[in-house]
Amino acid sequence: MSLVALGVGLVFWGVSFLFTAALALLLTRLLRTGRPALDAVMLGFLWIFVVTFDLFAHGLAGVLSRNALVVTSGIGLGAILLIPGVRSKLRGALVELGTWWPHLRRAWSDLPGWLRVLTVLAFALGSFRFVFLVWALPPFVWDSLTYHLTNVAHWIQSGRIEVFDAPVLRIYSPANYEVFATWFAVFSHHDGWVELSGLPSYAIAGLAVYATARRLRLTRTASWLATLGTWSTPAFVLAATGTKNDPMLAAVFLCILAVTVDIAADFAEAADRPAYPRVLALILMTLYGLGTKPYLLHLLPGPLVAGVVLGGVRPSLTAVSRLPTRLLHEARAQRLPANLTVLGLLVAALVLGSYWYVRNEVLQGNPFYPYGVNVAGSVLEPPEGPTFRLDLANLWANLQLTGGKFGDKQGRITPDLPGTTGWGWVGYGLGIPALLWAVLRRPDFRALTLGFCLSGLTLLLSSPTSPWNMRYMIWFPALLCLALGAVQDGLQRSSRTTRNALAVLFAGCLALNFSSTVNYNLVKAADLKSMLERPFWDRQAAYLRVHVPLEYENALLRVPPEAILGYNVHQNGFIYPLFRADFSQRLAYIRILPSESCGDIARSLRAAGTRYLVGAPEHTDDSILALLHGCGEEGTILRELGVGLYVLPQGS
Amino acid sequence: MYSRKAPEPSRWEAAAVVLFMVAMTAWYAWPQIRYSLYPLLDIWRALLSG
Repeated sequence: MSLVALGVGLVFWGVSFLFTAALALLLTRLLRTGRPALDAVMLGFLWIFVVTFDLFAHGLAGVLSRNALVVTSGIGLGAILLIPGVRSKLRGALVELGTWWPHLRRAWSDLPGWLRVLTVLAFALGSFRFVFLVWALPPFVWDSLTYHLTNVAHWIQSGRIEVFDAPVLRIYSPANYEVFATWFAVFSHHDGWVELSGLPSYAIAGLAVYATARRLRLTRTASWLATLGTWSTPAFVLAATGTKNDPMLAAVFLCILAVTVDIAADFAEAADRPAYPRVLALILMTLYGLGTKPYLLHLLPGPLVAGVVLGGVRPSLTAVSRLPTRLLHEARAQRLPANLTVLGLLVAALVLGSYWYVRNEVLQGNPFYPYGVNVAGSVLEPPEGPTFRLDLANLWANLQLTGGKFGDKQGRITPDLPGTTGWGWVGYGLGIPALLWAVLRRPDFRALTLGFCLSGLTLLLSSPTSPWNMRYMIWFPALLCLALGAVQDGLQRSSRTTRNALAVLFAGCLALNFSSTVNYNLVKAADLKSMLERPFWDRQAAYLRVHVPLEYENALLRVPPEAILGYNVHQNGFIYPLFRADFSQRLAYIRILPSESCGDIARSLRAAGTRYLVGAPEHTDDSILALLHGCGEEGTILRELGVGLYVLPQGS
Repeated sequence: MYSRKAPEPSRWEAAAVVLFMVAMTAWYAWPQIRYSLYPLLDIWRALLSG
C-alpha cells in the first residue's frame, strides 16, 4: 500500500468520524439526563450506534466502500453545517459539551495526589500498551479468525453485507460488532487498526461504572477507583483488542445497568425527572445488544431486579404503572421534529436488533441459526449446531466449571480465558473482601449484587459448558470494583495507616493487572520481535504463530494475491488469515467428501476457478487431510506445493 | 434499599477489611504472581539479548 493511499484513507476516515460524531452529538440531546457522567455514556453509546447503522445501511445497499462512505459522510456533514436550524443545534450541543469541562476539573481536583499520579501512569502505560499491540500484532484470537473477522473481510472485499458460502456457520450469528469493526478497516482497506474496534466499548463500560457509582452516592475518588479497577480487569483488557463481540456486550450491559440504577434512584428519592430520554436509551441499548449477541436477553433480568429492589418494590411498581401516561405526556411536550427523530432512531434500533434474526429465519428457517434453542426440554428450533438449553443441569455444570476457575489457579490469563475467570488482582485481592463488606453494610449493594448474580446465573443457565465460558462474564468484576469504591468511601474516617495501606494495595494490584496483560500473556517476545521485523503492511494474521499453523503462511507466500485460493476447513477452522491483511485474496470454499477421488477434487477446484487448495491440521478434518496427502504423494492430478498447499499443474 | 447515608465503619472495622484484602491478595498471588511477572521478564530477557 502506498503512502498516498494511506493518507487518502486516513482523510476519508476523518470525514466519516466528523459526520458520525456530529450526528451523535445532535442525537444525544434526545437522551440527555442532566447527569454529566451518564450523559457521557449516552454520547459514547450513540456514536457507536450511529457508526454501526451508517455502515450497515451502506452494506445492505451494496456500497460498503470508503469512496461511498466519504461521499455520504460529506453530504451529511455538509447538510448539518449548511441547514441553519441543524447547525445551531450542533452549536448548542458543542456548547453543552463544553459545560462538562468544569465537572472534569472538579473531579480531577477532588482526587488525592496518589490517585492522580496513578491515573496519569495508568493512562500513559495503558494507552501505550493498546497502541503498541494493535500496531505490532495482527488479529489472532480464535473466534475472530473463524468468523468475526471473516465476515468483516468478506464484506469489505465484496462491498456488501451478505452471507456467503463458508463451512463456518457462525458467520450467520448476529453481527452488529462486526459491522462496527468494519469501520476500522474499510478506509485503509487493511486490518492494521481493526483491533481498535473494541476500545470504544471498553471506554464506555468504564464510564458506565463511574456513572453507576456516582448515582450510588460514591464520592468522585471512590467512583474513579471503581472505574480504574474495571478498566484494569485482565479479562476485559485482553478482550478489548481481541476483535470479538464480548466487550461490546459487556459495555451494553453496564450501560443498561447505569441507566436502570439512575431510574431506580429517582423512584427511591421520588425525584421528578424526565423518563423519556432514559426509557428511549434503554430501548436503543437493548435492541443494539440483541443484534450483537442474543445472550443479552439472559442478562436483562439482573438489572431489572436490581432496579426494582434498589428503588423499592412499591415505588417502582407505582412509577412503572404510571410510565405510559408519563411517556405520552413527555412526548407530547416535545416538538414534532424531535419526535420524528426519535421515531427514526427507534426504527434504526429495531433494524439493527432484528435484521440478523429475520434474515436467518428467511434463509434457514431458524432465527438463531446455526444454533438450536431448547427451553426445559422443548426444542424451539431444530438444532444444526450446538443447542442452548435453559435447564438446571446446565447451570449446575457451569457453576462447577466456574468454581474450578475461581481464583485463577489453573494457569495464566489469556484472551480466551481457558481455565481462568480473568478477574485479576484488583477483583480478587480487593474486590471480594470489599463486596462482602458492602453487602453486609450497604443495602444498595445488596440490590446491586442480587442483580449481577441473577444475570450471571441466567447466563450460566444457558451458556454451553465449555472451558471458555467466562468470556461472557467479563462485566462481573465491575461489581467488585464498585464495592471497592464503597470501601474507599467507608475509610474516610479511619486511620491514615489504613487508608495508605489501601492505596498501596490498589496501586500494587493495578500494576500487577497491567503486567499480566502486557503481551496478552500469550505472545512470546521472540514472536513479537519477528512481527516487528516485518513492515506494518505485511504483519499478516497468517504469520503469527500463536494459533495459526504454518500451512496458512505457506499458502500466502506461494499463491499470487490475484489468484483465487481454494480452501477446505471444518466448522471451527480459520478462514480469515487467508484473506490477507489487505483483503486482496479472493477465496473459494472447496467442499470435499472423504469418499471423493483426486479427480473429483480437481473438478471441484476447476469449477471454483482456482488451481490452489489449502488445508491444515486442526482446521481441516483428518480424513480430508489424509486424502489430500495421498493425492499429493501420487502427484499426477494434484501436487503438494509446500506444506498443506496443493496445486493443479498448469494446463491440466 | 437506596440510602442517602453511607455507613461509617469504626477504625477497627476498616482495618479488618484492609487486612482481609491483604490476605486475599496473598491468596491470589499463588500462582498468579509468576504468570503476572513472566511477560515482563520475557521482554526484559529479549531486550538484554538484543
